[in-house]
Amino acid sequence: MTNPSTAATAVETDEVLRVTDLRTTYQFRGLPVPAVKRFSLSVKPGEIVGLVGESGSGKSTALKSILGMLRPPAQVEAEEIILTGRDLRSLSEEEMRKVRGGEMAMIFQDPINSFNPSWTIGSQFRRVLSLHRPDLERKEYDEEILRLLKGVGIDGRGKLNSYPFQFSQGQLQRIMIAVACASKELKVLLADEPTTSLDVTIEAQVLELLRTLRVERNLSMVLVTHDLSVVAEMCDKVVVMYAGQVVEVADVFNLFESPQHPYTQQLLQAIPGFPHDGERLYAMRGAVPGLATEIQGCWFADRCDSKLGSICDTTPPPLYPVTATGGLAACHRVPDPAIAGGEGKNS
Amino acid sequence: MAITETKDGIPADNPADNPADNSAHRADEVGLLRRLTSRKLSAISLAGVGFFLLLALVGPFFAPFDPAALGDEPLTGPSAQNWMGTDSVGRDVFSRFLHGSRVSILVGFLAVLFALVVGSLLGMLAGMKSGKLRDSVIMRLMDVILSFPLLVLVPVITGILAQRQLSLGPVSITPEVLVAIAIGIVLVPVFARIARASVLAEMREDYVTAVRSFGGRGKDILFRNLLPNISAPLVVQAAFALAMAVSVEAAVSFLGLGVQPPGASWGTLLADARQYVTLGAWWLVVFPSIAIALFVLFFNLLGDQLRDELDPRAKSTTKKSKKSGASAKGEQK
Repeated sequence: MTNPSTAATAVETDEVLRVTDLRTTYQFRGLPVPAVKRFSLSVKPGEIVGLVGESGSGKSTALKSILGMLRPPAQVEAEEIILTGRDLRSLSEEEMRKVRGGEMAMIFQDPINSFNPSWTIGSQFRRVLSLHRPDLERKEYDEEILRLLKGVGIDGRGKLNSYPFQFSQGQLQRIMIAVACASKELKVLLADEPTTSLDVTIEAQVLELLRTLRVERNLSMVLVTHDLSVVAEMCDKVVVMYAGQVVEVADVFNLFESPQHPYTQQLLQAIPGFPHDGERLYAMRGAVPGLATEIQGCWFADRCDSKLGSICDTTPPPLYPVTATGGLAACHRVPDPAIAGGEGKNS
Repeated sequence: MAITETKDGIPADNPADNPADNSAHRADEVGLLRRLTSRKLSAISLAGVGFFLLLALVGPFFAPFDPAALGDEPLTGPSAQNWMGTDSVGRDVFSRFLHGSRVSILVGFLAVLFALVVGSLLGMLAGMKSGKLRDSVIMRLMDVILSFPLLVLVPVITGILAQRQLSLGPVSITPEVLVAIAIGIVLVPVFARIARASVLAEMREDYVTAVRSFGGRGKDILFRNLLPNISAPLVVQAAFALAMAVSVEAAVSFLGLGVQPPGASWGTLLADARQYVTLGAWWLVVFPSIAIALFVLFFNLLGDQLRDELDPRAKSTTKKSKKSGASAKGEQK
C-alpha cells in the first residue's frame, strides 16, 4: 500500500489534504450500494472548502471515509488520501487512531448528542487531552482546558464538572470545537453541518469562531452544509456533490456568478429572492436517483433543464476543466463553449 | 478531578447561561436514593433489602449458640432459650438460621456479581462486533447455556466442580463459592443478552462516532462510554437476578447438591427439616421459607422500582413526570 512517490509529490504541492478518486460502498441486503463515487478533494492550508449537495448525496460519508471512520461492511477505496504528505491508507489502525483528533478532527451536526451524556464535560475533555497531548502532565489538563475553552469564548471556570445537558447547543458546539482544537498538530477540521441545529444568531457566532480559528491557527476546513448562504460567507472553494459524485468544483465567487453544472444552476435558482414578488418558487423536479440504481449516462440527466440529448443518457460526463474559471464541472456541455454559452437563457 | 470549583466562581459568560446548573445537578445525583425512599413501595423494598444485608453482615454475631453444636434436646419448639426451636440433633435453629442466612445471601451476591461482570463483558464484546464471528461465538455459547433448565445445570456444574478440591493459589475454594459460581454461570446469558442489546442501541449514538473521531480506543468506547450508558438495565436485572440466585441456591442445597452439611443455608435448613415436618416440627420449615419468600419479594420489588426510576421511558407516575418536566424546562436555558 505504501507508495513513497505519491507521498513525495504531495509534499511538493501546496496541499494539506488531497483525496483522489474516493469510492465508498455500503452493503444493503447483500448488494453493494456505492454511496460515494469518483470523489476528489484538495485542500490548501488555511482554506475552507465547502461541500454542498442534497441529503444523501454522500457528503458525510465522504468525510467519514477520509477520516477512516467507516467499518466493514462499508468499503472505502481511493487512489490516494494524503494528509500532510502521508497517505492515510498506508497507516496502521493505531496510527490512524492518532490521526483522528490529532492532525484531523471532525465536528458534528448535533452537539448535544456528540457528548456522552453520562460524563462531565471536563472528564470528556481530559480524555481527549490524554490521547493527543503527551506534552501535558495530568494536573495541567484543567488549566489547558480552561485555556482552550476561553479560545472559543467560553469561561469554563466551575463548569468542568457540569454535564452536557447543562449547556446550550451553541455552547456545546463551541466546546466541541475547543475539543477538536486540543491537538497542537491539528491541520484539517472536518465540519459536518456544524450549524444546522443552531439558530441563526448562534450560527453566526459559531461561523465567526471558525473563521477566527482559520486565521489564528492557519486551519484548513472542509465544511459540509446545505446552506448556500453559509458557503458564500465562509468558503474559498466549493465542491458540489450529487448522488455521491462531485459534479462541480469552483471557487466561491465563480460558483455563484457563473455556475457551470446544471445542477448547481438549478440549485442556485431555487434560492428564494427577497423581496419576494409573489411568483412561484422554483423547485427542482424529480428526486435524487436511488444509489443502487444502474445509470449509464449522467446521473442528473433526468432532472436536467438543459439536457443535450442522447449523450447525457449514454456517457457519464467526466470532470471537465472549465477554462474560463479554472474550476471543474461534470457536464457534457462544458468542453463545447458554444453549447455552454447556449444555456445562458436557462438561468 | 476537583479543580477550582467555587460556588461564586461561576461567572455568566453568556446571558443564556444558568449559573444554578451545577447545584441543580448535584441534587439530581443524590436524587436516586431519595426518590426511592420517597415512595412507599420502594421504601419498603429498600428497608427489606437493608434488613437482609444487615442479617448477612452482622447476623452470625448474635447467634446465641454454635450452629454446629449438638444439643441434648432434639426437636423442641420455639422457646425463650431456642427462639426457633431445635432440630433433629438438638442444634439451635435460630443460630443455624443466622449463619445460614449469611451463606445464602453471600452465595446470591457472589453469583450475581460473577454473572454481572462476566455477562456484561461478554455481551459488550459481542455487541461491539455485532454480526462478526466474535459475536456469533459468544452469543451461541450463551444460547447453549440457556438451553439447559436452570435447576438441572446448576447441580451438574457444582457436581463437576465439587468433585475435586479446587484452589486459587493459597486460597482454597469453599463449596459455597462453587455453588455461587455455578449459579453465576447460569445467570451469565441473561446479562450478556441485555448488555449486547444495549450496546447495539448505544453504538448508533452520535457520541460514539464522536469519540472515535477524536481517536478514542476500543476500550475507551467500551468501558468509559458504553458501560455508564448501559448500566441502568444491568442494575435492574441484577436486582431480579439476586432474587433468582437465592432461590436457586435454596433449591439445589435442598436437593443436597449445593451447600453441604453441616454448613447451613436456607436450602440445607429446609433439607434438614424435610423428614420432620410430618412429625409436627413446623418451626424447621417456616423460618427459612419465610426468609426466602421475603428475600425474593423484596429484591423483585426493588428491581421494579429501580426500573421505574432508571428507565425514563417506563416512568408511569404522573406527579413524577410533571416535576421532571418543570426541571427540564429550567435546564434548557
